[in-house]
This record gives sequence, structure tokens and C-alpha cells, in this order.
Amino acid sequence: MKRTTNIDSAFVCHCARIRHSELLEIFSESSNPSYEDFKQRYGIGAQCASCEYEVQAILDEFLGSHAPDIVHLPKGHIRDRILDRADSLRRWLKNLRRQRNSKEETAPKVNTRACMFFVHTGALQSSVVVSNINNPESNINPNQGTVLFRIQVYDSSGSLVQETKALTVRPNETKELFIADIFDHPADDFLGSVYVEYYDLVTTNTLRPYCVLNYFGPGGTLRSRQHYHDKLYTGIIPGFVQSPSALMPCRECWVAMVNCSTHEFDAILSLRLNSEIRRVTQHFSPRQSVFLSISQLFGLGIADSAVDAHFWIDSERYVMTYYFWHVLETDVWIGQHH
Amino acid sequence: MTSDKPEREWVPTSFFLATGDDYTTEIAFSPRQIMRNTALRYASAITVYDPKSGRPCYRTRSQPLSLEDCYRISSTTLQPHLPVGIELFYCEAFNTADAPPPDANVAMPSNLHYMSKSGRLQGDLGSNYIYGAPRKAFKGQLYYDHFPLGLGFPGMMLRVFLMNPYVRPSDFRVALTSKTRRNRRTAEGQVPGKSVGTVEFDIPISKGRHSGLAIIVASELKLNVVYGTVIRATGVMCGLDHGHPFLNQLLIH
Repeated sequence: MKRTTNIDSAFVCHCARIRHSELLEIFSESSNPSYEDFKQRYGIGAQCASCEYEVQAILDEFLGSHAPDIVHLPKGHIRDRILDRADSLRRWLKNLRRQRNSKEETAPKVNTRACMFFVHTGALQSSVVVSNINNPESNINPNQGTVLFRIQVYDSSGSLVQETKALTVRPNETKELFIADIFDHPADDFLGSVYVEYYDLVTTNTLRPYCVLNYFGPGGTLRSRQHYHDKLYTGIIPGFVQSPSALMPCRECWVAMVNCSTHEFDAILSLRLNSEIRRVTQHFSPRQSVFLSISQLFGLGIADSAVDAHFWIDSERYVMTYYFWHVLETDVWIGQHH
Repeated sequence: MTSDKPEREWVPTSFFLATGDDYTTEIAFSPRQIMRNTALRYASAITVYDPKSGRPCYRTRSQPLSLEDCYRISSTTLQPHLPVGIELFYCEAFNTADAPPPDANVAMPSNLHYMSKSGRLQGDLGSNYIYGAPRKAFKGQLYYDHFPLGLGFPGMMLRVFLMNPYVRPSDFRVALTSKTRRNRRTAEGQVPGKSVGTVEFDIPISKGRHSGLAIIVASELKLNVVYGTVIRATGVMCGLDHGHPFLNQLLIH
């Protein structure tokens, strides 16, 4: 077991007496920084090793901040802030002039998108949440202020049924949109997927879109709010396409599956129950969504105690999958949030 | 001097263990979540830390696992080995294969399913990255975590779980942000090394139809933060989520 000797000290590595700022200096002076190298050369993490994770984390961050695709954000000093604001104003005026001269030339373009499962019934009502928060130190918005986005909605069979006009989310604004805010004529029951598409985004910052699964109990009282976010991925792995909690006591597990691609394929849904494996084939047409309970899929009841049940999906294409549980005892819906 | 160490190594992830008369945590690890190599053997080691000393107080390790296996351990099994009277423990899951990671995904998280008799804690999370996540986050004078709370509904409160994976203590502050009012500080404190801190506060009711709220957690060290939504009247948890850092890159899927 590692000894922890540097609690309450300003040193990252107490044994080698190295502070955070000194560590960064060492990293910046090295042409090819690696933990193993520093361990050997400076003794960082070489004795009690309790700082290993932190040094690795700082190194990881240092390397990340020097990666080629990094978006450099303004610093928090007053002079920089004034200069950056002046720069933003100049850019805004320039854009305004360009817009006046040629509307087509500056037409905003979608450059990033994310997909989420979406459901609307009497009790379960998904909503979309987007949040455009300024940099917490400089208060400068890295996307130059108001961000434009639109929402496309596909129904369960994969047909595009709604596309909003360009919507806005202002600096420091967090917007939550229910079905009535998205659809021109909202349906009472809807199952499908939503694609949040951003225009000319510079950096994702806090704009990774979320959905909330709102659950309204009898009398319309809000009983639960479970967040979940995009898992759009066009490859095959990695992806959380499994759940080891398929049969938890007194809670019914539901699986929401979306084919985000335009391909058609079959997926094998498997449930290992103790040592027995049960399999069901699920066909996915392009952009199709499916929302089924483990009970419905495999003809099982709800467990009284924890069962060794493991659910997973095998398919040639990625299936974006969310797991939700209706907790019967407290009548709330919770979800897997990875 | 050359090293035999591979370029990439498996790294641990962190989570909180809730245990006691009311709480149960079901921990599960299946290599299948990111691996597909049937020839390899995998393993899962769980280390529980004593919040009073910041030292490991119990460690357990799975037998070698095949790709198809799922290693499970419950807080009820761990409970007899842990200090009494503590409900929340900081833990690390070190899940490995007998070959180095094939790509930048160097952490294999465990799955945590939280249950409680009273309903005070319920949710399903993956263990959090300590380091090694292939993404680029903003770091200024402090570290920041963001959670888009959305609309504030009446009768809801937020319980924030802050996990400190490092041995040094970390100060933190929690702020609510909205379009009209930026960064209202709602809570602050310190999380000792290798332990879990919690703060809770009422969620303000939104005034406008779209006027949502976001939470920003600022901390000295890179904490892992989890947000639990709670019905104030009953104390029942009705949402358990993680946030994200301020990303300095454009995510294009």
C-alpha cells in the first residue's frame, strides 16, 4: 500500500519537495516529458509514490494544453480582457459589415452536431438543455457571444418530422426546451431522437447538449429529473452498450436505443442471467429509435433482489444506448449517466 | 537509459462508495465496455480509502476475468472491512488487461448502481476519470466543472458530491449561473485528500419559460463532481448525474 505523506502540504511531491509551479517548469523544459523520465531524473513520485496520480494528471493536462488542436482562450488579466473585448467588438463590426455586403457569404453553417434519445408521453417528457457559459475566469465567451443552434427531430421509424429555425443561446444562458418549444404541432405521444446542431462553433466549451428525462406522477407533479447527454459515435467501439444492472431489485430497466446512422442493420441484444444467455434480434432501419424494457425484451418479471444479469448489444454499427430504471418503491425514474 | 515500460498504461478511475444501513452500492466491471480481445485476461482491483487518514483501508481484487465475465462486488460485502459510522468512502477502481491499452482510452471504468431503502440515494454512474481522458479542458487558476441544471422547479434541491482523488486537500466553491445573474456563490468548503465531500442547497425556481440555470464548481485540484437532484419534501433522490469541464476543443462526432 502507498504511504500518504504529503497531506496538508503545498508540495505536489513532498518527498522530492516539488511544487506545482516547479513541476510545470520542468515539463516545459523537457522536449519529451514523461512521468517515468521525471521519476528517474528528479525523484518525483519515486519514494512514497502517493503523488503519482496527481503528477500524471498534471502532465496529462500539460500535454493536452500543448496539443495542436487546442483552442486558446483569453487570460483573465484586465489588460487582456480589455484587449479581447476590443478585438471581439472589431470582429463583430467586421462581421456586420460583411453581412451587409453579402448575406450569402456569411450565412452560418452547421459545424457540429450531437444526437440524443427523446420521448414524450403523459408521464415521461424529455427536454433539451443547452448551456452557453462564459469563461469562468475572464467572463469572455469563447464562442464570441450568442450561439446559434437548431434541433432536428426524427421519429421512431427514422423520419425527419421537425426542424426548428435557428435558435439562440446567449452568453451565460442555459436554455431548456420541451416538446412544445420544439414542435410546431406537438404530438401527445412521441418517441424518437433529437439532433442538436450548432452553427460556426469555435469550441464546445459548455455546449455539449443534454436531455432531461422529466417524470410527472399522478396529478402532473414533477417526480424526477434525470439528465443524459449525447453519445453520438459513428464507429463501433468504444461505447457503453452494456449494462450490468439490468435486473436490480424492485426497479424495471428500460433500454433506449437509437441508430444515429443512415445504415440499416441487425443487432443482437443479449442478456446473461446467471449462466444462461438469452438473445433477441433487433432490426434497425436508418435513424430508428426503440424504447423497450428488459421485461418486454426477454419475457422476465421484476426482480425482488439483485440478480447477476448482464445486458449487452452486439452489432456491426454503433447503437446509441441509454438505460433508465423505473424505481417502483419511490416512483421515480433514474438513468445511467456515463 | 531505456525503459521496458509500454507507452500507454491502464490507469485507475474514482468513485464514491455509499454503504451502511440505508445505502447499497453495486459495483460491476465488464471488460466488454471498451475491449473486444477475447485472448486477453482482465482484472479489477477496488481500493477503499479511510477519509480520516487518507490511506487505503481495504483493497480487493477480482480473479482473472475473460472478456465475457462481469466482476461484481457489493457494499454489503465490503462493509465488514471498513471503518464504522461512515456512509461515503472515496474509492478507486483499477481495471486492467494483461496487455497495454490499444488506444488513448486508457481507463476502463466500473459501473456503480446506487440504491437506498429511504430513496435518499439512487442512480447509476460510471467511475470517473482521474486522468487519462483524451480531451482538452480549460484550466485557469482553478479547475472548473459545469453542469447544465436547466429549469428550476419548485421543491427541488441539489446535493453535490465532490471526490478528491489526490492526497492534498482541495478548496472548492459552487456557483449558480443564469443569463441575468452570473455566478452566485451558493456553497464553498474543502475536501480532504482521498475523500468525499457533499454540499446541498435549494434549486432556485426559474422565472422565465426558458430561463435555466447552470452549476459551476471551481476547485484547487481536479475534483470529480457528481450532482444529485433531490425532492426536498421527501428527501428522495430523483436524478444523479455528472458534469463536464469547460472543453477547449470542438467535439465533432
